[in-house]
Amino acid sequence: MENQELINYIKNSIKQGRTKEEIYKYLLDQGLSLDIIQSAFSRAENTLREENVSKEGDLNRFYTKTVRIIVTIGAILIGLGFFSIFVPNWEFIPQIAKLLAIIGGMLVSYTAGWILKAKFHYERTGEALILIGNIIYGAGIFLFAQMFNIKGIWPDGLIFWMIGGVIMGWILNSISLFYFSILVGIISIVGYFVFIFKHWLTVNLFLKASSFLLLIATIFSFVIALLFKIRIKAELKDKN
Amino acid sequence: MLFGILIQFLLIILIIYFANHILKTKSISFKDKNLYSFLLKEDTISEFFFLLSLLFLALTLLIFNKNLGEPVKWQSIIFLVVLFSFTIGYYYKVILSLILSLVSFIIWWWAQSIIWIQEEGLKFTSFIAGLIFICIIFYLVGRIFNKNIGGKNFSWVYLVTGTSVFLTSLLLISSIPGIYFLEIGLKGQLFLKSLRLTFWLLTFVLSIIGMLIYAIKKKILLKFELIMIGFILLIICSLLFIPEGTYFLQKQAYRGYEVFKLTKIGLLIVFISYILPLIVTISLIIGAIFNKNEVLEKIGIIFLLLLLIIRWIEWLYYSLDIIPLSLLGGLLFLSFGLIIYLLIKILKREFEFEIDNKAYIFFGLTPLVIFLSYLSSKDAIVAFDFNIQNSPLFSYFAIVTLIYFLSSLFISLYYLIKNENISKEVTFLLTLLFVLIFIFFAPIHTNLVVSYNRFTNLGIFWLVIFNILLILVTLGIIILGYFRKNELFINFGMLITFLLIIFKYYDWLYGSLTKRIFVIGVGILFLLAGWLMEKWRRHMISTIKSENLIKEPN
Repeated sequence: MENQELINYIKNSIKQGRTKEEIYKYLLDQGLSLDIIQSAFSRAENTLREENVSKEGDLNRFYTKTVRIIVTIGAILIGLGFFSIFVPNWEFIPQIAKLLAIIGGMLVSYTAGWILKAKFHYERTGEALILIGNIIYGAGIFLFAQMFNIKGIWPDGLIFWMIGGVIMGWILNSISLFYFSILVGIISIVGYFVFIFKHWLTVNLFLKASSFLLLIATIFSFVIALLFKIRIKAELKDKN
Repeated sequence: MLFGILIQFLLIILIIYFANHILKTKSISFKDKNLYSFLLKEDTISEFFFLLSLLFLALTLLIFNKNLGEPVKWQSIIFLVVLFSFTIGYYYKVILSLILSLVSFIIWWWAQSIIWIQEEGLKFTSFIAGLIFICIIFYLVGRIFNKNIGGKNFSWVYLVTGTSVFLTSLLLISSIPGIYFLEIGLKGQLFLKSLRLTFWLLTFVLSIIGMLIYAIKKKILLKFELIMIGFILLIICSLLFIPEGTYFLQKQAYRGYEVFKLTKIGLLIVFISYILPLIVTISLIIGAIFNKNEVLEKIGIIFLLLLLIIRWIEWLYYSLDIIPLSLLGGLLFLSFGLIIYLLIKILKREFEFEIDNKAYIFFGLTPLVIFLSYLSSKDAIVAFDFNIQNSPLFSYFAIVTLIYFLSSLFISLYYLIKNENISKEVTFLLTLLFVLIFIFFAPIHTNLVVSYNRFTNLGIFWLVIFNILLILVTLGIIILGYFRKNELFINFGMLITFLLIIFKYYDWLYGSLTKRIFVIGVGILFLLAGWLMEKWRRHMISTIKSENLIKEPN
């Protein structure tokens, strides 16, 4: 692709509301080097700024972002709704029904999300359903712990939630799940620090169990980070 | 009180407007490959998981250590985490990991040095000195790496961390509670009593000297950066060696209770501690603009805004019982903020007369007029009955006013030298500010009131002075607008005149007349004043237009 053609292509893509990452990925797939793409991109942006045309692209991006936010909020609200229905009435529901509700809800959400995303290309709605499945999974961890009287502190549950979220995110290739898992991981770390400061002067037996889980979390997070780095390097190497 | 609220509200609006206008994020140009890859979603996820793994590692080690009966001190574990974060940051090029290592290093110094200080009964200023040394090291590393293409990506991490922590410390110390804290910090033994503390402080100093020599050889630092660093090192080193004693604050009885009064050395320290953050932040902003470093520029602006907020809150706190004085402080900080805003716009060549003119009217002229309107009322004369020179905090008010007014003056000289478009307007504002400051600080204004609504001759004198000032300011705005060919000023001046007439009519005649006659009077006044002012305004504007004198200012 010649330089002016490349700049025109980038300008048109921006006007259509495509994100920078999408444009970069497409051009890298065409075999162009990163330097050429970057240089063409900055020239295209400057031209657009002068023409003041990027507003249309901004509008399209705004709509895209809005849809993403709306469906994400929808997913969170459904998850919270699930919590609010089941949790207060939890003790009245038989154990088998509880198990089926949690596992069933999780499987249905994940499956529906994957079908919508992979087969029908409704990416945002599919991601939202996958997120709902993950929230049900997280809720299930705490509810199971309560059902079976498992001793532990609440940040432990968040670590399991994070690990499960990352695994599902890797399988379903869902970026939203990774972001959500990062958030869950951060909350668990904050929870642990609060717990440590509160119990620093006392010896707490639960801490022994948590330290092993924390070691697993350390190794797991490091491995995931490494895998992503390797994946990025491989992609850049292939394109260059 | 309404005027007080209005001025303080304007100050808040200025801060939000300033922050929003200057801190608008622009589109990032993907010049640096590493910067591009960081912004890719997958790389962001990888960065965060590296960060999570390091934080989980810290928790694991802390809990293991605790369960095994603490064979290792928790401060050492933090230091271990620093090393791990630093290694991962550089090996895998993870920015978040590097940020964690720098922040953890500062936390480690804070935790470890406090233990050493408490064990040996040393001066607390040793901790402050170490912290400032670390900030200088980060700054120098950032500046040195900025020149090295391979390290460019990480240089901003060092610069941001170093300058942020340094400016935060400076902001905290440069206040009266901060001065008091510093005074307490001087009590204790010299740091030389502790080998470990001495070792670390010496290591920091030698690192700084080594990096400065390298930077000077490679001509990396600007001259004023070298001067600033040298000056800061001098102050910090002197803090380390000052013997124990009462230097800055003395107790004094005032109105039946004990207050702290500044000694002569305390005055000097207050002056330095108040002017230093101002010089550092403004230098940072100007240096960043010239070096085209947007990150440092935004940090400088954020800290300058924080500084103004802290000063304003402090001024309010100390002058709460004297309303005119608290309003003067608001006006002082508003004017200073406006002048800095205009300076940044001029340096970045983004000054637009039509837009920034409005900022000048809203943040410069409006608070001034509101303040004068308040001062020219009878209620204000009652509140004006005070003698600031007898207050134990007189030196504090004098120093802050001097610093901020002189800084504004100094910057406005730049506009005059560069013959900037806004120079006359700024001169007008500063002249009036100087007059008000002189009135507040120089002459004594006590015994102004005999009883409610009855004033002494001196009280009447000040009432007349403030009213004359108000009229002069209003006329001055209109005349300035006429000679500067600025319709906006003329319109604003007319509006002020109109409101003034109504306000004065109410202030002086309400209560003296029956309500019906008062209301009729208001109506007639509205008609007359509106007609006269519109006639005059149109005449001035048409004179300007017919002579083809209205041009876009350069």
